[in-house]
Amino acid sequence: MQHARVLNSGKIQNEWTSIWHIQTEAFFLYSDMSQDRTILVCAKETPDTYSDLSFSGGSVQFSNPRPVLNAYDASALEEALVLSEAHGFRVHVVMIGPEKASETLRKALAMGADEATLLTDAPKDADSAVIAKILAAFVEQFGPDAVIMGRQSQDTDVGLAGGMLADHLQWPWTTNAIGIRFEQEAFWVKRQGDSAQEWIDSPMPCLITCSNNLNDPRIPTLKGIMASKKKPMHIVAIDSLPGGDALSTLAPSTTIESLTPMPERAAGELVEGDLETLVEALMKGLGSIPETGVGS
Amino acid sequence: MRVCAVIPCFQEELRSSALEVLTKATIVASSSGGRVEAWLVGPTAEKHSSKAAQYGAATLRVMELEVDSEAKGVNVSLGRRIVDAVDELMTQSTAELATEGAPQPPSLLLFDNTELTKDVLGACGARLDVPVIADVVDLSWDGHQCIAQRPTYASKVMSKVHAEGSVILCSIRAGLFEPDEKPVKATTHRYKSPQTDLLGQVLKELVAPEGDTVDLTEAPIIIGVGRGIADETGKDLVAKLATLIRGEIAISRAHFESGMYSHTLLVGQSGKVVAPRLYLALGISGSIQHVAGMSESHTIIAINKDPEAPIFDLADLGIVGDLYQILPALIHALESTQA
Amino acid sequence: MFNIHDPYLFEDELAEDDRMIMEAAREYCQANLEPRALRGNQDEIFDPEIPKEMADMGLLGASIAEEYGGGGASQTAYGLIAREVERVDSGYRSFMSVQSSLVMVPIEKFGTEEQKKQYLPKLASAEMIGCFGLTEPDHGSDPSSMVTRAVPTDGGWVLNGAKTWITNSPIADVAIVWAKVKEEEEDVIRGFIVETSWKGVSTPHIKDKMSLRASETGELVFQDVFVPETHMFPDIRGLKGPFTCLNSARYGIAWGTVGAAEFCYERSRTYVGERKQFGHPLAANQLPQTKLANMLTDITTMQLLAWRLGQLRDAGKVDPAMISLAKRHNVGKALDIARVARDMHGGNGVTGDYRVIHHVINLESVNTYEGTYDIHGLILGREITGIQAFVPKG
Ligand SMILES: Cc1cc2nc3c(=O)[nH]c(=O)nc-3n(C[C@H](O)[C@H](O)[C@H](O)COP(=O)(O)OP(=O)(O)OC[C@H]3O[C@@H](n4cnc5c(N)ncnc54)[C@H](O)[C@@H]3O)c2cc1C
Ligand SMILES: Cc1cc2nc3c(=O)[nH]c(=O)nc-3n(C[C@H](O)[C@H](O)[C@H](O)COP(=O)(O)OP(=O)(O)OC[C@H]3O[C@@H](n4cnc5c(N)ncnc54)[C@H](O)[C@@H]3O)c2cc1C
Repeated sequence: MQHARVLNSGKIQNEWTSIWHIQTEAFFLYSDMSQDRTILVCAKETPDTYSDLSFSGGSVQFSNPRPVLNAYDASALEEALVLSEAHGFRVHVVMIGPEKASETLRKALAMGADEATLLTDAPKDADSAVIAKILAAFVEQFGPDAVIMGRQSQDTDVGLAGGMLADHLQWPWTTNAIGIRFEQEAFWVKRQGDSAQEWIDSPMPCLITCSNNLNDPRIPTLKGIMASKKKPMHIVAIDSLPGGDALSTLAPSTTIESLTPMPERAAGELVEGDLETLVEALMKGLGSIPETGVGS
Repeated sequence: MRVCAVIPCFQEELRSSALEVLTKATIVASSSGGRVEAWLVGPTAEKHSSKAAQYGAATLRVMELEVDSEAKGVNVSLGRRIVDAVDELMTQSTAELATEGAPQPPSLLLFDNTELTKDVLGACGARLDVPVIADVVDLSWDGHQCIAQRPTYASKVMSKVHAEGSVILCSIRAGLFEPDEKPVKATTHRYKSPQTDLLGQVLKELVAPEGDTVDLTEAPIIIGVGRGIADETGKDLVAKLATLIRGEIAISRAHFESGMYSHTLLVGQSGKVVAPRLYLALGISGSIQHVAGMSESHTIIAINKDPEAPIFDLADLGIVGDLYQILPALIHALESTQA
Repeated sequence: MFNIHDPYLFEDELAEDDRMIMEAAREYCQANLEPRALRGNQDEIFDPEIPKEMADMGLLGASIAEEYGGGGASQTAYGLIAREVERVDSGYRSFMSVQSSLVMVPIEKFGTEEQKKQYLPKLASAEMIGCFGLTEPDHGSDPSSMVTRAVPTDGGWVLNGAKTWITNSPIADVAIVWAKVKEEEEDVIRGFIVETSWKGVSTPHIKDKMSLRASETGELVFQDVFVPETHMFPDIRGLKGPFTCLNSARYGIAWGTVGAAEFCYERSRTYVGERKQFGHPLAANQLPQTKLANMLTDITTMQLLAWRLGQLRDAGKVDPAMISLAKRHNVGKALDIARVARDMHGGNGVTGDYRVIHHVINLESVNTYEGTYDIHGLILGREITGIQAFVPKG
């Protein structure tokens, strides 16, 4: 079993590690969680799917070689930070990923999160179901007052983890948030539905998944980046979570067999010229579609 | 073996996406030798059961659900009710089928891919502890294995996903094929809805902005409005054009920010995925996140003043010019032909 | 996989902090500066919000000590910021360099504790804008012959003279001014912190610049300006003072021009990929391909020079001639790349929309200021041969 350890140097680490050595049975401990209520943000590192994409040997490569913080999780974090500024929540970010994902996780600290945990050594090819089970074990141990996360991940667009996690925890959940308020000790979430929006009120603890249309995530400032070095980042092997042995050997229930380029649409005719030419081309184009009623 | 179309019923009309799911269920069932069931859940479940039979479901499982009265017909809140309902239907129907002498029939549950489904699909999967594949454009199933195609990386890549088990859940992307009528004689089973503990959640308020009644995924003509439409004058031009060509309005994220239109109209990776006969993109640059929501449209016409705009790479017809000059002239031309 | 933006993967070698700072700066510059660049240049606008935004991001005085409001980041980080800002516009980078290197650096290095406390936090937060006055109308490459002079008076100095080509002067609150002072019969260059609101200071704007149009440039004119004793740098004497600042700024330029060159290369690469002539994309022809190959090769050398120079500065192992080498090489190459990029864009290359000609014309200034291309050649020449050739011996 790998033990938890803290990445960052400085005073916190020293205090923290000494506590750790005394209580090796507790899977980990957090600095100053005594009073503050905590929002846990679940975040994922993804490839920069908005950079240029190319295929080689059945796998996908992106022109930006460095992974990024999933855009939807960044919105979740932004919202948690705003709530924390207004209502004094502590913001903790958890990420499942390899050790080198610590750089992306540090970006979350640089944006303003107080503390972070990287859960390493996830089972190979973990799918949403596996991720949700691991997160559930973590949440149960950690006991936050709310979990806020992205509604989907920008690479796979699957969007199942939030609902799965909520069901494991038996917590109330609200998906696709485009507004969050904290009022009368409850989270009021404005959810974008298929049509219309709903304000849903959930008591704590609850789970919220966020649309990226909720806000524009802040860019970390230089001071934030420098300060992030001094914030605690815990690196915890999944098998050291409660029930960890089972978690670390979970098999995914879905597997990706192949990735192929999507057939691209061919570009059609491009019309430039005077207004008359343009309108004529448009009338012809619209006329060719019966449903417009233009041709008839 | 059974293929079950799970159909949340909260509206007066059945969504065409639900009919598409039924059609897909009949296709999968006929190739795998399974039966088609429709699971109708919601306040209007009873009402829609006959329609489900018309689209090929021989077994109808109907569960009337109570929801907050004001939510009826518009939207739904508190997906926990649906998850409980699906769980209950699974348990009950399995028990019934077992007494009929066929224990644990392999089941494929198909959902549409609305926000409502997105709200509950993960939780349903976790509750039943079965594999889930979301946002599928095509699939095959043999009663044990399911192979599904789903777009990934902002719809730039197709991924082939494999799952196996006696129960599998999939959601199907809307607008990809025509619902096909296939009337069958159906038997109806009715179920009492389970008591759902809402864990203190309450629907406080429903905000239904004007224009929110249209279901974009069903519209044959969509006018996508981007940042190029910058003011009320532009908005009026678009509204006129929409009437003239029988179009529904959709927006890019630029207008999610501008607040000029209802948020529900967003098309793209974080909004709706549409595949109309015609998508007319007005002043939309063609970012990959927007394109992810409309690239399956049958015909795309784009108007943009920038000849290098990426939207032209996928438009069947690209018109280079200023919307504020083109739209008045186009409206004039349309009005004179229609007069 | 070959990375066509960073062929020798120098970004992988950066420390985590530095890389994070680079990415944050890139995000800010692309989201907030890039959309302003075209109009800023065409209409000669330096948006007064920019200093505040940069300050909020922590981009002013990035490597100044945190206790004085700076960022406490490495020299490499400072360079990486310059690269991102100059990818958009050398004018914005000029503003940033002057504030950080030419104003905050001398105050931190040469200033008294009071001077540091009084000015550095305000400069870091952009409550104050600074400028640096060395060049004079008749003394550019040869600042040692400057004529601006301070003479002692009760409690301080009286300053007279004029500086020109001063970046930021029309919008500055404070100027670092280098002037001659008589000490034991000898003329010695000393540094002063002069506030532009003081009596006798004027800062006329230089009109009709065709380059760095989004950066304010002006003069500094001193007419019997009283400078309190407390506003002189106590110990630094001679050209070492201004040159220390210039070394820092020149180092920033070595990085900044990497960004400008990368921009021009990237635009050209996209353009020739999309533009079709004779039935094929321009990129399918040999000439455009080798032009791109040359650009990328030069960019790679520029990246590696700048990166290594940053390491040397962080390790405190830098000699000014090293900086001359990188400033001269990188500006020269950036200018070549920008000119070729302009050509590859055909007629579109002269429009503002593609912004390559914007970089060409900006880089002309960058080639001249902070020591011209040739002056840095002479600095290197002196190091190599041991013979100074600034003053003709013919
Ligand atoms: C995680 C993530 C998810 C996202 N999800 C979505 C999503 O679901 N849907 C979505 O739309 N976006 C989404 N975005 C945002 C997306 O990246 C783009 O920012 C957005 O789509 C741009 O909208 P636009 O094309 O209207 O605006 P712009 O990109 O600003 O384009 C405006 C276009 O209008 C043209 N134009 C301007 N004036 C005129 C005129 N007078 N006449 C003619 N043409 C004119 C311009 O040439 C330009 O091409 C997402 C982004 C992220 C990061
Ligand atoms: C946009 C802009 C902003 C500036 N900002 C500032 C600022 O903020 N603060 C400041 O103090 N200055 C600033 N400068 C001034 C800049 O540093 C000078 O322009 C530069 O040092 C050159 O001086 P000069 O213009 O007098 O040219 P000169 O020194 O007259 O040089 C003219 C030409 O002669 C060449 N030359 C000169 N001497 C020799 C020699 N010995 N042998 C061979 N060739 C030689 C040069 O290389 C050059 O090609 C700025 C300039 C510009 C254009």
